[in-house]
Amino acid sequence: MAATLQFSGVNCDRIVGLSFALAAGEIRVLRAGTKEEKFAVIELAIGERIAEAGTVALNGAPLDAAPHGSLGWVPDNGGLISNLKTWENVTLPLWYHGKRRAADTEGRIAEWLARLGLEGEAAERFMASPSGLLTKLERKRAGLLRGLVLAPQVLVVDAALFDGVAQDIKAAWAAALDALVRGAEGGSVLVVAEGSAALPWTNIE
Amino acid sequence: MFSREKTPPPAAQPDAPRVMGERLWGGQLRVAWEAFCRLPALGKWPVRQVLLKQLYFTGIESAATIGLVGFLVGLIVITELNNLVGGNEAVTNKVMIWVVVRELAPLIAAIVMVGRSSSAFASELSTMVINGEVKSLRCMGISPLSYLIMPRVLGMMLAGIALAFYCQIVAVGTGWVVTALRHNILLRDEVFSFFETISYHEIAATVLKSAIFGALVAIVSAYHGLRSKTAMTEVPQAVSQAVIRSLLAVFMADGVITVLMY
Repeated sequence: MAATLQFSGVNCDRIVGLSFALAAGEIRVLRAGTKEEKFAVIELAIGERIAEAGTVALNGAPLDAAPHGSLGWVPDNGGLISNLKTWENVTLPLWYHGKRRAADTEGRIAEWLARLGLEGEAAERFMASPSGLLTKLERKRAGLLRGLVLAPQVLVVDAALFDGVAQDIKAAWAAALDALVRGAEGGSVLVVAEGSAALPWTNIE
Repeated sequence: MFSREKTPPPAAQPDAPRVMGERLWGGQLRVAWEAFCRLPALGKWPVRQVLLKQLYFTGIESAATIGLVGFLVGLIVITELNNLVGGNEAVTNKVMIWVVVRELAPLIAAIVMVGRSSSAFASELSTMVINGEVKSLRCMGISPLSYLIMPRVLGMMLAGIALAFYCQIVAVGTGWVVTALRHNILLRDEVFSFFETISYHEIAATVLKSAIFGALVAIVSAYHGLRSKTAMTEVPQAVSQAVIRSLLAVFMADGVITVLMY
């Protein structure tokens, strides 16, 4: 299976010689020792930080050359824009990067919301709510939904997303990520964790 | 693969007032240039949405204030003018063009924009920086300059032109009506005399002034909003800096444009 995301001897700040490859259709967990290291890996993987040495490549090409919207990011707290409603937050990267037409988006969002355990009126209320009024759990859900709807080639997930979340919800979210990598678009997911929190996916050694 | 060594903090740089001044103006010029370079991002729907929201907030929602101020300015200027020159419609129209059309209307529009939009924009941006929302945008591959700054600069430029035009219409219209009522002059004659007196050069200059004022208010506010770093206490500081410096920039630009164009 061809590598989608590849770190080769990456040095940056606290990271020394980090190398791994993530293939299409895979979900794997990269464990960092500290929060700072975790953020450094996440920022390197989404192109927010430049490696001091080594390379980070997507499909063999540098991240700069990656098509817009091919990298997604799910932070631990949703990373929402407070003056936008939930649906505007969810569709922002999708429409900004021109990945999908408005007509397709609604059905896709409803589908992912159902997988995340939200349907009908509750889903409508959630999507219409200003993001400033969402609870911590709802913010996390909105951030995850945004990543799922974008369906990037590589979705980088902060494992702290699952902190403080009930087991059944956690299982539904993990199943949604599994569904994303099994889907027609064949993306992959890199979960970056701090410490040894239990996660249902194999670690990157 | 993960090292435990801490990187040393960068050495402190001397902050001489001259260096800070250069950085301030340089920073604002850079924001202006970067915003201009991102005009093609208007092709993206979320960016157009921000532009439309800014036009609504700065343009439509300020219309009532501008209308009232325009009416009062027209009334004050024409009352003083009538007392000075009586019912001389030619002189009245000339002075209305010099004072209201060329100077006061673009300035009033800019001052209302500073009061409403500059403070709102600076506080919004500052809060977004502090809450990590600007970083969130970058992490999603969205340029904050394309999404947050450029549409607001453009929106304030367009709103500035529209508000100044609206202020001119209300103020000059008030002047015509008051003169017609007090000196028994035909309104039609005043209107004809006005359009015979005003030149295309004057119209172009006021449009240019209004656009520049709008851009200046937006750029100065964006610059001060983006300078915030971590503490919420920086928000009121950013707002007051944005308001004061926007006003200064508007008056300085007015002086320069007036000297150059007239």
